[in-house]
Amino acid sequence: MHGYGISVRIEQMSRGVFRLNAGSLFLAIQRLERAGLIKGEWKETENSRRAKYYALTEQGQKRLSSETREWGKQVAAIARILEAS
Amino acid sequence: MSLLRNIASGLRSLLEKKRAAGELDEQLYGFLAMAAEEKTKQGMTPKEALRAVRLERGTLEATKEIIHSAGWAFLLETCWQDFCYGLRALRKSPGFAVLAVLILALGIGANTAVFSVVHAVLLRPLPYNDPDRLAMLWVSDTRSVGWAVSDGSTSYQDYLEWRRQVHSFQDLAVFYKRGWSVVTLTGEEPKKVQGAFVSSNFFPLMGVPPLLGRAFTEEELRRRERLIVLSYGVWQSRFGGSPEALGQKLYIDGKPWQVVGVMPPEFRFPFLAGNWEDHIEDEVQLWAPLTTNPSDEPSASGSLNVTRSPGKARFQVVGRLKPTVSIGTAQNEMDTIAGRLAGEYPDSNKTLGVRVRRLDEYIAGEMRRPLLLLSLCVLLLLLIACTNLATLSLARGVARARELAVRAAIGATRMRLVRQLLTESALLAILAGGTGLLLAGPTVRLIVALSPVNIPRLDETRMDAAVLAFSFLLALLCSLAFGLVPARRFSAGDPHELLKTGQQSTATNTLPMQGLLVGAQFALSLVLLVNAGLLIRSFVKVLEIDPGFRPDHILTVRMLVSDPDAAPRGRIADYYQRVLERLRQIPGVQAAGTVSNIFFREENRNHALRQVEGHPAEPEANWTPLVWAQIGGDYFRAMGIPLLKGRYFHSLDGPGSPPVAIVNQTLAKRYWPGEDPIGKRLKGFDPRGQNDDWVTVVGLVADMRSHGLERAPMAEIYEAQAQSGEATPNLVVRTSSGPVLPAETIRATLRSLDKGVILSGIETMQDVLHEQTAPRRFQAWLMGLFSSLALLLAAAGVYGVIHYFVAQRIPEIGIRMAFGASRKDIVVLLLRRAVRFAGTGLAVGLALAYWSASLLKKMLFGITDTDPLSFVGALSLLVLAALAATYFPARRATRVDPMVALRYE
Repeated sequence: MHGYGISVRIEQMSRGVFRLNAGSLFLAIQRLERAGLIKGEWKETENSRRAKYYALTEQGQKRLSSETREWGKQVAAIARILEAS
Repeated sequence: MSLLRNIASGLRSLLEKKRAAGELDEQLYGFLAMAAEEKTKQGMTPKEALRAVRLERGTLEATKEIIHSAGWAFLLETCWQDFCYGLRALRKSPGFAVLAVLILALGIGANTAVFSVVHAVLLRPLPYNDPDRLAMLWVSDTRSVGWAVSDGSTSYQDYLEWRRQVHSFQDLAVFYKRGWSVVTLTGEEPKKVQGAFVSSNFFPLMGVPPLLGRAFTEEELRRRERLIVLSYGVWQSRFGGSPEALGQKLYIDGKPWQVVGVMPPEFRFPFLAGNWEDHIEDEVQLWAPLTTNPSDEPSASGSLNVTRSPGKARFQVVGRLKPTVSIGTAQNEMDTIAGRLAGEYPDSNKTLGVRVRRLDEYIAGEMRRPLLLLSLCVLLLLLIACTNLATLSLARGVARARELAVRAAIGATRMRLVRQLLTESALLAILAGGTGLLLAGPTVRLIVALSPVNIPRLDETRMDAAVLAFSFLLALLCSLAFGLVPARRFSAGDPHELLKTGQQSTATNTLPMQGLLVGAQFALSLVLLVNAGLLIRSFVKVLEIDPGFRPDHILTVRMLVSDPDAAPRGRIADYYQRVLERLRQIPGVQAAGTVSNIFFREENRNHALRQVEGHPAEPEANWTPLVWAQIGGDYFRAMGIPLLKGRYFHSLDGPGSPPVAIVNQTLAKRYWPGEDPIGKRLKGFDPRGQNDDWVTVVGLVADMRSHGLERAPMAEIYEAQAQSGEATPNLVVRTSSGPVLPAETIRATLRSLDKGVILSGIETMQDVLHEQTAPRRFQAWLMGLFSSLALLLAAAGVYGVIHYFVAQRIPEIGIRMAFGASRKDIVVLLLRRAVRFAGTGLAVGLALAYWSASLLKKMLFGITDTDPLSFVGALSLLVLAALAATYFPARRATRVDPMVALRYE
C-alpha cells in the first residue's frame, strides 16, 4: 500500500478519528523502514502514477503480532482499572 | 541489525543527498496529488483542491523539513554547516582568529610541556611491581640543626635489627648509598660506570625479574662471589645485546666478574646519591652482591662490617609494605623500633630516628615542590589565556550581535545559535590545541635543558599519549569555558530588541563582564609576576654571593688512579707530585693544586674536634658542620683563597715532620675567638680514628662556601697530602688571564704520566658553580618566562577590550568631540576606564600574591616573602602594560572625525 492509501485507510477504519498529515506519516514510514519492519517498492498505481508501495516484512509481521498482543493486554488492563474506579 | 540499517540509511541520506531527497519528494508530491485528486472528484477545482489539501495536510516544504530533521544524519549535517560557517567567520576576521589561536596555543603549549615533565617525574608509576607499596627508609639525625639533615645512611647492624623486628613490611632490602663510582671496565679506554651493591632480596623485593639470566642468591652473596647483573645499556654496548653475555667475564678494576643476568631497560634503581663532585653518571649500570664492595674492608668474619660507628653508616634501605599497611602505620612502627634501638645502643643511636616515605615521593624528592609550583603557574597561565579569549570573543560577539539577531529573527532556535557559537570556539580550541602541541615540543626541550642535572627520570620525558590526551582535553575545556560566556549572552537576547537598538546598548551591557574578565587577568598575572619576581630576586641574590674564592680562570678535573687496591699510597702521591710539576712547566699555568674535596654539599652532620689544646670537651649541643680536607701543591693559590695569617704548606711538611694544619676563619672563630690561631694545637677527627698526634695550626685562610653557595661557610681544616697520605683526586689549575688553557693539554699531560688514569670531564670552575645554581636558575627562568607570557596576555586583554570599546563608541566619541571635548579628554576617558578595569584586578591580585608568596617562603633566599621590590616591580609592570595597551586604541579614538562619526549614526 502506498503512503496516501495508508492514510486514507487509517482514516476510514478509524471513522475519521485519525487523520494523518504527510509529515507524521512519512516520518513513521521512514522509521519503520529503517528498523526493517516494512519494505518499499516503486510500482504503478491504478491511475498510472508512480508510487512507493509498502508491505510488512517477515520481521514486521512478527513485531506486529507481538505489539498487538501487548496492546491488547494494556487496553484490557486500563479498561479494568477504569471500571474499578 | 536495525542499528546498522539505521546508520546505513542515515549515511545514504548524507551521501546520496539528492537521490534520497528526490525519492522523498516524489512520494510526498504523490501523496498531495492523490489527496487533491480525491477532492476534485468531490467537485473542487484543481487549484482549490490543492489549497485545501495544503491546509489540511501541511505544505510540501514544511513536511520535508520535518522528515528531514528527524534523523541523526541531520544533526551531523547542521554541525558540518556550523563548522563550515565557523571557518568562514574566522577567515573573515583573521586578526581575531590568529590572536585567539596564539593566545590559547601559548596556554595549552605551556601546560602540555609542564605536564609532560610532571608526568615523567611525578605522576608516572615507577616501573616496579606494585610500586605503591614500595617505601624508602632512612635515618634522620635529630642533632641536625635547621633544615640540614643527615645523609640518611644507616649502619648494616641497624638494618638487620629493623628487618628482624618490623612487621609492617613484607621485606626490607639494603644497598650501599654510595655506588661503585670507581669502576674501570677494562678492555677499552678505561671508563667509569656507576654500580650498586645490593642485597640478594633486592630484585625480588622490587618485583622485577631479570630480562635474561638471573639475580644472585643469598648463598652466593655470603660466599662473596664476584657476580654481576648488567643494565640493559651495558649489555647492549658491551655485548651487543647477545644472550651469550651470560656466563662471560667482565673485567672491572682488573678483576673478573661473572655476568649472571641482564635487567630490562626501564629498570633504573637505586638512584644513587649523586656523588656530586665525581661528575659521574647517576644511572646504575651494574648490580653486584652487597658483600663484594671493594671499598669496604673485610672484617674478621669475612662478612660485612657490622659496627655501628658513624663511618660505617653507609647503607640505604628500601622496603615493600604488606598489602594493607599504610605508610603512617609503618612510620609509627619504625619510630618504636628506633626508640628501642636508641635505648639499647645509646652511644651510636641515641639521636637517630627513622623516616619512611613512599618510594615515588622519595625519588621525586626536591623536584616535587618546584614542579608543583610550576604546574600551578602554567595552570594560572592557561586560566589567563582562557579569560583573555572570553574577553576577545565577547568583544567580537558584540560586533556580531546584529548578525546573530538576524539569524534569530529568521527562525534560528536559541539552541542552534548556542551550538553555532560553541562550534566556532571548539574550532578555535582545536586549532590552538594543534599549535600548542607544536609549541610544547620545544618547551619540553627547554625545560629539560634548563633543569638541574640530576633529576631522576626527567630524561624520560616524552610527549606521550597521555600528554596528548591531556592537551586536547584542555583545549576542549577551554573551548567550553570561553565559548559559553558569549553564547549565553547572545542567545538570551530578544532578537527584536537587538535589531532595534543595534550595537550600542549591547555594548554597554557586556562591558562590566569584560571589565571583570580583564580584572581577573590582571589579578592572576600579578600573582605570577610577584612569585616570579621573588624567585628571580632570590636567584640574583645567590649569584651575588661571594664564593670565597675566585672562580674565573680555573679548570678542574677529577683524576682517579686506576685500581686503587694495587696502587700503594706512595705511588698515588708520587703521581700527584709529577702531575703538579709537569703542569707548572706549561706556560699559562699560574698555579696548580690538588684537593680531596672542593665541595661538601652533602655533608650535613655536626662534628667536634676530638681535642683542642686548652679547651674542655665540647658538649654535643655546640657541634656544627666541620670538614677536613687534604691538599697538595698550590691549592689555595690556584683557587684564589687568600692566606690571612701564617704560611702555606711547604715541601718540608712531610711524613716525617710534625703534623701541621691550616684552618679557615670559621674554625678559628669557633675555637679561638679573638685570638691568633697560629701555633694553637688540636687533635683528631681523623676519619680513620688512628693517629692521636697533636696537629699545629700554621696558617689561617679565608672562608669559602664549600657547603654550597646558599649555606654559610663551615669550619674547615686542611692538612697536607704529603702528611696524611689520603687521595686528593681533584686537580685545580689556575690559568693566566689570557685565553683559557685548552683542556686537551691538561688531559694529555695527565695521561702521559699514567695511561690507566680515569679522568672526568674537564670543567671550568664557573661551570661547576653554574651547576650548583641550576635548580634556582631552572625556577627563575621558567617562572620568568611564564609570567612574561602572562604579562603579555594581560596586556593583550586590555588592548582587546579598549579596542572594541573604541570601535563601538566611535559615534559617541564623535558627539563628545563635536561638543568640544579635546583629544586629551578622550584619552583620559579611555585611560580611566582601563585603569578601572585593571585597578580592581590588581587590588585583588595583591591580596592573592601576598598569600601565595607566603607559600613560597621556603624557596626564597636573601629576601623575605614581602620583598617590596618584587611587589612594586610586578605592580608597575602591569600598570605600564595596561597604559601601553590603552595608548594605541586611544590614539585611534582621537583621530575620529566628528563629522564622519555623526554621519555614520
